[in-house]
Amino acid sequence: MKNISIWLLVLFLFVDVGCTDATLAKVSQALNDTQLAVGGLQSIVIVANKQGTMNDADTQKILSICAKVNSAGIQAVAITRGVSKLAPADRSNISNILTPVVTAVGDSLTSLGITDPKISNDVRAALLAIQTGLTTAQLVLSGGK
Amino acid sequence: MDIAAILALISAGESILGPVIVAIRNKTGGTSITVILDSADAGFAANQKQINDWLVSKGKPAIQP
Repeated sequence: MKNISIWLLVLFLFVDVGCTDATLAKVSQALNDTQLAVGGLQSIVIVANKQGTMNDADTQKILSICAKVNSAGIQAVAITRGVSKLAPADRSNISNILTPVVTAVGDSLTSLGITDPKISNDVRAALLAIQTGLTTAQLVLSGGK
Repeated sequence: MDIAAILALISAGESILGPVIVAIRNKTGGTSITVILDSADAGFAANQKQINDWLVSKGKPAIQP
């Protein structure tokens, strides 16, 4: 009987912790993908600015979006790091941080005023990658355990 | 051992083993999560620094964290 109780305990812990780790891993990976995409976008616009193919105003406009994503990402990482289990309140907090940033990225996609077609395409692709990372994190938080 | 005793054991195990589980996670499967989060954190911070460096180079105020 003692063995059964131990196995029940192990099963309980496995189920509880296993699912939690999967969600944490997905959110963590989505956040990491997002920071990589943001870094890529920043490099694109800063290099274009240095080369004179993108003016300061357009560069700053894109970088301000990046700054919002970076700030939200740091906050989301801090919340994710501090929990061994993503409780509903934790998910809600992270989602509340990410939602306005997803909106801002989406808005920027529809209002790009970059004249250079190559840079415009590169920026658009990077913004889509950022949006994908953020949306993935949100979907996991809303649907995963 | 009856069901109540098993439940009590499970309940006690949850509270007692909680820190142990976190420690095990940090040593095993959790390491990957920690590493990913470290990477994400460092990446966002480096991105923010890159933006501030650009702003400063343009004579504009850096963004405060």
